Amino acid sequence: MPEAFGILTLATLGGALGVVLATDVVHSAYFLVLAFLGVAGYYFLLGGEFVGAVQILIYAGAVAVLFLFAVMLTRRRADPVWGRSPARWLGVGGAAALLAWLLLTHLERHPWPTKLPPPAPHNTALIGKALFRPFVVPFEVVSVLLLAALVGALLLARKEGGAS
Amino acid sequence: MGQPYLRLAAAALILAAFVLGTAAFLVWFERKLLGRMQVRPGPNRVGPGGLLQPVADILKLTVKEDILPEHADRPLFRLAPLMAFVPAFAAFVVLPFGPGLVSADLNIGLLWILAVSTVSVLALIAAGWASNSKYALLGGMRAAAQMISYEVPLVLSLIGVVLAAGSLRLGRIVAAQAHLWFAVPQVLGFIVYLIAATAESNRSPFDLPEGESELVAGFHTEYSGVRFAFFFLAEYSYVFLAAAIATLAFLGGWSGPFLPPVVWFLVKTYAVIFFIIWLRATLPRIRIDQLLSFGWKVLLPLSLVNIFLVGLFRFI
Repeated sequence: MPEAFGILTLATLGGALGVVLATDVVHSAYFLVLAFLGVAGYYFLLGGEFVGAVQILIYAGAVAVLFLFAVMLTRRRADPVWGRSPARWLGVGGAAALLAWLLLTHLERHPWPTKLPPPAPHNTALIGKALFRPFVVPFEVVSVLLLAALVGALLLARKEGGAS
Repeated sequence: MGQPYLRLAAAALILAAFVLGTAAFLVWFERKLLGRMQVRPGPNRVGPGGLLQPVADILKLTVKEDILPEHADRPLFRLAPLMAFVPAFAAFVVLPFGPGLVSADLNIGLLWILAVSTVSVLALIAAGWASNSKYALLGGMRAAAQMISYEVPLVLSLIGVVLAAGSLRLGRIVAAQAHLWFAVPQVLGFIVYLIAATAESNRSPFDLPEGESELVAGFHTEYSGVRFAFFFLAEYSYVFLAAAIATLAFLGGWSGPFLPPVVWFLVKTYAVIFFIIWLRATLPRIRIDQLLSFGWKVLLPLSLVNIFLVGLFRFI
């Protein structure tokens, strides 16, 4: 479906550009959601519905909410917004150009397959089996890592708050 | 362009009509029921039994002035009502009303509904933030805290159903309940789901994001006219969705004797909606700290116990 691909690309790239160009952090966060949703759409187009839905659930539904929560708790609306000074344009533009040059020169050398095999029909079950059989140790390690991060965040928050 | 797009457009139009009609009917249903439960007649002036009251309300809301508060974040303020409604509508796309009666039969239907409905939290935060009003901001923050907290037990309570059915496809989940409704062996999961879903759709006794006595109207304090109507529409869509998922995942879906499947589906869904409205008429609003500690310290462990029990029974 080329039309769907075009719409998704517009949403993803437009969202990504919006994140960088918006002068308000909150607007940037909402543009980021648009980019996340566009990427989720790509997963659906590729036949990975499970990954696509999880992308929406985790990134748009949790990560973006966390960003917004942090921004709103730490910043007031009266605070000055980011300016668009020539120095900033130069810095951001230069970094983007450097990254684009690196990616283009290195990605071109790699022989990418142009014909992909059709996705497996029951890939949700396949993901589950892969996670709990060959990849069970990394999966559990990631779980412990996330738990440690959670406990660490709690510890930091408690220290800041004093006795409570 | 061609056939698939035409079919999609037709499905979208039918669904839009259904969602609008359902929301309008639910407004009447809720007001009438609340009235009866509080020993008063409820709306009874416009049309037979007040049935046309929501039509009059919609007409009133559409002709009202669309007020934009000064110093509001204009693009976000304008976008927020749509952001609230679009995910609700997207969730309806995979909802089966009967065998084969579904716009898009995704094999991850249940996950899709859970995933897209989380996006509407962003709309409530946007509305609260963009209004530039302390009541709206407080309402938006409460909405975020509440919906993130109750999403966890909500999803975990449905994991038990997915485990027992072995599929995320809503049709397969209904088929797995041919002999016994999941509400019977997983009564714990069903109770956790009902409480979490009521909280997730910001309904009383969990309507803290718009608690009238404290926050005027919470995140939609500054909204009027059509934009306010969109928030209303989203809320009632979520009430219907919550009841529909309860029906599909725990109450055997559209299966039942004699009557056609669609009728059974609607009867069961409206029974759950009746229960949710009954809760509103009965219980006082709880406090935000009670709400959050109840979600994390009671509902979350209970939903984990439910998953453990389901796993245990499948294992033996």
